[in-house]
Amino acid sequence: MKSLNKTLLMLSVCAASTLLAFDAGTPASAKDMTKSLYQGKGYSPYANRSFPSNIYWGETHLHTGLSLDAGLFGCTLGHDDAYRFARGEQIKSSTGVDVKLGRPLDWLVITDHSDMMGIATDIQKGAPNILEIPKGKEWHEGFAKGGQAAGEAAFDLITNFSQMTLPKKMVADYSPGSKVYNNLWKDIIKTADRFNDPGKFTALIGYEWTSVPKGFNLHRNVILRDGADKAGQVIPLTTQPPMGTQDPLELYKWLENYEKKTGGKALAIAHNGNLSNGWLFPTEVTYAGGKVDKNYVEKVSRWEPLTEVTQIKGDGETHPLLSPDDEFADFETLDKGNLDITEVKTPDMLQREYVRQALKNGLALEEKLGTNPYKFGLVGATDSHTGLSTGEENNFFGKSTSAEPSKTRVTHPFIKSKLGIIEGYELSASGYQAVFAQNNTREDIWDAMNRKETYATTGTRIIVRFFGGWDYSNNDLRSREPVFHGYKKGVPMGGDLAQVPKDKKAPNFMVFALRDPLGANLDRIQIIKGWLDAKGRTHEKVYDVAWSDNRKVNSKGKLPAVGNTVDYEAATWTNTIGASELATVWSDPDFDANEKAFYYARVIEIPTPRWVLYDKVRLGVTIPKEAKLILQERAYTSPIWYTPSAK
Amino acid sequence: MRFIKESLFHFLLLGGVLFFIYNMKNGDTVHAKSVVISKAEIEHLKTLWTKTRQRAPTQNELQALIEHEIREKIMYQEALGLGLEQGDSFVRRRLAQKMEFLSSDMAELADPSEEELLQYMSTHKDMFRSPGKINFKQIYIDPSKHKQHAYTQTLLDVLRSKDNKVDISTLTDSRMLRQFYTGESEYSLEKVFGKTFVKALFTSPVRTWQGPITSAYGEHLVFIDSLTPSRQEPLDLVRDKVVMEYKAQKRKEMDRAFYANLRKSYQVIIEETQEVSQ
Repeated sequence: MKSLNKTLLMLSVCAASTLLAFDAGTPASAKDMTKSLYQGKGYSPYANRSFPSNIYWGETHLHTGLSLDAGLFGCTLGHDDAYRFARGEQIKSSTGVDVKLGRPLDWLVITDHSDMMGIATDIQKGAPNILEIPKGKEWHEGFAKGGQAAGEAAFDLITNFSQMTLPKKMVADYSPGSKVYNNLWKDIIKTADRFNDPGKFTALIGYEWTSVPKGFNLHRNVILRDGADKAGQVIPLTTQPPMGTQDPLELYKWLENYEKKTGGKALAIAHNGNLSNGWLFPTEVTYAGGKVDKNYVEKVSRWEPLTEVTQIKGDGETHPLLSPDDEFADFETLDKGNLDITEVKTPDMLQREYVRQALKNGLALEEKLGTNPYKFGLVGATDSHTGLSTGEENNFFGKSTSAEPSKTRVTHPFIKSKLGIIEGYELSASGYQAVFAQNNTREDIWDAMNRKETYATTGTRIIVRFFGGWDYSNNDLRSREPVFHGYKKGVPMGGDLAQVPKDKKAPNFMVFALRDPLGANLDRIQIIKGWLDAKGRTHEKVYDVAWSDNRKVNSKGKLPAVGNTVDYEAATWTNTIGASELATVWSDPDFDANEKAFYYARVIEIPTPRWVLYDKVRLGVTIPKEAKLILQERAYTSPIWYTPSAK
Repeated sequence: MRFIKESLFHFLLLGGVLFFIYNMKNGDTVHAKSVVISKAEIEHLKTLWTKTRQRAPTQNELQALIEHEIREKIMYQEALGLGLEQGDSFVRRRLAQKMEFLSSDMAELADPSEEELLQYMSTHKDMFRSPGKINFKQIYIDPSKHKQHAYTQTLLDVLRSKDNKVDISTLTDSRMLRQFYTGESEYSLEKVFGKTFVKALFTSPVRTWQGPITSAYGEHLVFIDSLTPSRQEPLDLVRDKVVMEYKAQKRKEMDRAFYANLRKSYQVIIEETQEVSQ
């Protein structure tokens, strides 16, 4: 033991706390170890835990060639391709380029526009009936052989089809109203079932309800918890009258009907308030001519637990005019006008477009109407129309097939009207969504979304945990498993705080973040607070709570910038500044127990190259002067709300 | 002359021409054309509505659906009459896509035999392996906190020494990387530690402290309690997957061959080739 003690002393950093807990070299039985160290059951402290200990990456907003606009702009990839790509396979993009994700995603929701789904279906799935006719057998055998023979059989069949020489029986099966008509939705959900591989890769079923009256973006993605057996009992709601509708209240009715009819579960996620010209998060009247009344706020609150805060068409956390004191507010801002720029933006619209302001307005609406409609968890997604979920700067395949990597995509406008231009270089390579769940299954991932235990990133894979309670301490943070204490003493992101304990003055928050293993170091963690004062006015404040490099806050209370290591010629950076891990326990110094409030964490990386810089280096593109070349990627956690208990 | 370039001017011009043609064609015949909404189509509209709204359409709603259908059909007919589909890249792409649907659908028809599946599996072994599973513990060493080599080596010596009583939880420099990982696959670990680390980990000796292994974060000492290597799955366990992959491949082959057949039947004339840069 003497020599051992000596060696231990050499481990100066750790020696003091090196306890004689168990024999690490030759493990004792699992049971013994458990007794001495863990709160979990069995050998693994992670087994049988009742809280969601795993993080799963994915996104809820991807289009394929089945979306009318995507198909017309050249996307030829279907759902098969999109799932394969997301789960890590290399495929060819619509423009014929080899493409692969740096790391696979764990789950995906493909959300093609519902308005498309009823259209192309008249020829879908007539084929199975072929077998019932004599000629069909011949074809069938050809198909079975595959390769050239199959191609010839298909050719023959289609020739017959085109010359109207198909047997009557088959033709009948193609006619409207027959059971084989309108099967694209069925095809979509069946494909999702085929690719859904519990434990490995989850394919959730969804669609986008693309309501865009007068170009004001009111889009919602619908995410189902269920498989094809339930999803197949309905048809997605469309927006083109008379079959469809552009009124969100009708969408909520659809969701309600879905649950009632199938016993399944559904939720909706709104996005791109920045292109809605003040209509996505209304506070008084709705676009459809309704009022933001008790019914409206209850419905929104019931069906929209999340909102998409960041994506290719701009970041929607906040706007510099809404948050003048937030030095990081102007991030990937797109504020020209509505979706097609047929109406320009005016500053008064902003407060009904951005998520932070909506979170604040939600507090006020709750005061007025009894329910907070904008009690959102935050998610990030791409909204790619390429079938390729590429949210990373160095592997960005653009908004649409026409914006896949090319020499011209930077300078080719995304939207151009007489009133304004959204330039190609202004689009943002963003984002992804992390969920905390126990298993990688439809049920667990959907449930995590529904309870808002999920967060958005702008395409990076920062891991962040955020807990709120009354009793966190630095010891909890230093413990081997802060997450244990996180759940034990408080609530995770998406949760609620109420009822200040008698001996406590303010809530505190435990937050810790680990950088993306393939990404950049972290600059800082901030906690953003929004609250409603006694006079009914809303406020916000950004607190720097943890930062790298031992920087000192200056006399004006400002934390100096982290610096910049980006090499503009090579499109690289170095992790010589920043920290790979940041953590702290923070107590709200300005807490007032009578004021409704929310808190969320924003984790900011050190500067890295923006996608345009990779285009410059790899394709030799000349980047317009106006284009931003670097950015500080970030993660936005879902908030934790404090609501004073009733007096 | 600049106004000629304006799209409004074009729009008005086109509108005028359309109106002219329309009058020419329709001026003196009131019912020369007809549009039919069949019973089956009405049934289809009702079905669509019902499956969307979970109730049957009212009389008014049904009337609106039918009127909408009539309008679309008439506009469609007239557009075809004017040849508006010609040279429209939207129409062209849409129809091309439908052709792809057609040939893809057919691939679904052929149910593969047992032999075909086994054959497919044997040529695609990597696709149907069970993931390897590992139970291990690790100590993370933050390069910014320690003069790496000496510290790491000393630590490793201690850990390997018999009868050591080290609580490894006090030695790790990370709050977010766990010390214990159980039942993890290569796949799930790659997400956290990166590929290089996982590859080194899975080829390390078991039941002894090993390292340092480098990850994106720094260095790690690892102790593998047990490791189940990845192995080939029997067909019955992965049948659905094999069928899916098999059909996907068939579909690709068929799509390719189908297009090749079509292409063969055309004389393709390329009038001008532009210089392309390498």
